[in-house]
Amino acid sequence: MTTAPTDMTGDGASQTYWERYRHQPHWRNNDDEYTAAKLGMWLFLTTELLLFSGMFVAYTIYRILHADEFARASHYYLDWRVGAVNTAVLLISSFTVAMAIRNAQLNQQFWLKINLFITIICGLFFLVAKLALEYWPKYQKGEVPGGFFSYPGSHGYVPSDYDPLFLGVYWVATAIHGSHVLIGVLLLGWCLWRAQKRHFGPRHFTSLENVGLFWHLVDLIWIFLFPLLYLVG
Amino acid sequence: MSSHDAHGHDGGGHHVAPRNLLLGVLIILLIMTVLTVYTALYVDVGAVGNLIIALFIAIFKSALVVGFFMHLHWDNKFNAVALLYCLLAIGTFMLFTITDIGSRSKIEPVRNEIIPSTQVRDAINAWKEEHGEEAYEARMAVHDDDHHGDDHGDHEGDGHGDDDHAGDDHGNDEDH
Repeated sequence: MTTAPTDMTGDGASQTYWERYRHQPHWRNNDDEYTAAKLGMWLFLTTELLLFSGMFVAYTIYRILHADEFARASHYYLDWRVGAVNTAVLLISSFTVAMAIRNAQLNQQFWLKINLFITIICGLFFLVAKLALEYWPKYQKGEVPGGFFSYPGSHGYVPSDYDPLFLGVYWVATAIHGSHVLIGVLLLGWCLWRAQKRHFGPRHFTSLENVGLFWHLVDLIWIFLFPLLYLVG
Repeated sequence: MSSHDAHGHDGGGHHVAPRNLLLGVLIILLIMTVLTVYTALYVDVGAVGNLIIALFIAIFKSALVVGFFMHLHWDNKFNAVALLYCLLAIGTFMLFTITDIGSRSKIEPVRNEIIPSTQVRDAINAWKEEHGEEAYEARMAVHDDDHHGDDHGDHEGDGHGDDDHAGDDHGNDEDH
């Protein structure tokens, strides 16, 4: 897709992808291409926010109507410590991906790969913690949404009529968020693979930047989901 | 795109976020997370008050992420306009949802209820049928150990209770 620049010198053959990167022919220059791609990403992110806003509206309705039952269910079904650790992990991964973009801009190829690798590990940690400590035990116990709910209670805890509703909000919101984490991890893996091939550098890091934006959005959503689901007062 | 030179580095003409700034933002974000947990567990200013505190901290945290991690502070302002317009739309959804649901009880006090589900009763009855009434009583019995945890309120004792009920349920799963 890229052609070598016309002013290729003797060492042109040793140029890496980002050095010889040339914009697609319908753009005036690399900057225009980068700016347009980034605007496109921001527009996509707004649609993502609107997707999640539907879930936050549902949450708001149910919580206003059944405040006490929601607080009780939140305390019983969710362990805030799991949520807090996962919050910290996502924040750190947001930092490392921001650092990875900085590394690409400064042509620090080694640290670019290290930071992307740490980001991927953090994303995988989040997913494994979610599956192993929350989803799997909850699924086994029958603490699942709506008509699938089959948890009879334990140790003096009798589920309220609205527990299936709370778990519905919890499962749908966190699962859609979790699928975004999974997609983000795959995209970061793609970026790491490209970084390994020296595709990113000061003159070209568009895909890396946009994947970074996506990853930050995943972090943003979790910043709201954590207190709203795990710390209902 | 952006014309400013970034601290003398060659960033391809794009702004390079200073490392110490990014690190500072991360530290503030982590402190804010601790603050969120602390205020939720140990500060009681009523359910609505605690919710407002939690949301304010979350909004502050997301402003930091958007402004610095996502480079919007240095970015083409058109991207910020797209985001703000989206937030305006979300604000509209929220505003009318809250005013509607919040005021409905004044108009229709009786119908302001979602019809309760039968899932919970079905679940309890199914369990009783399978394991017997006495087994259910035993399952629901609160031991003295647990009671100690319960006395501490829903907060710090919660994790304790959760562990217990996890262990209890795994036992039951083996019965199946």
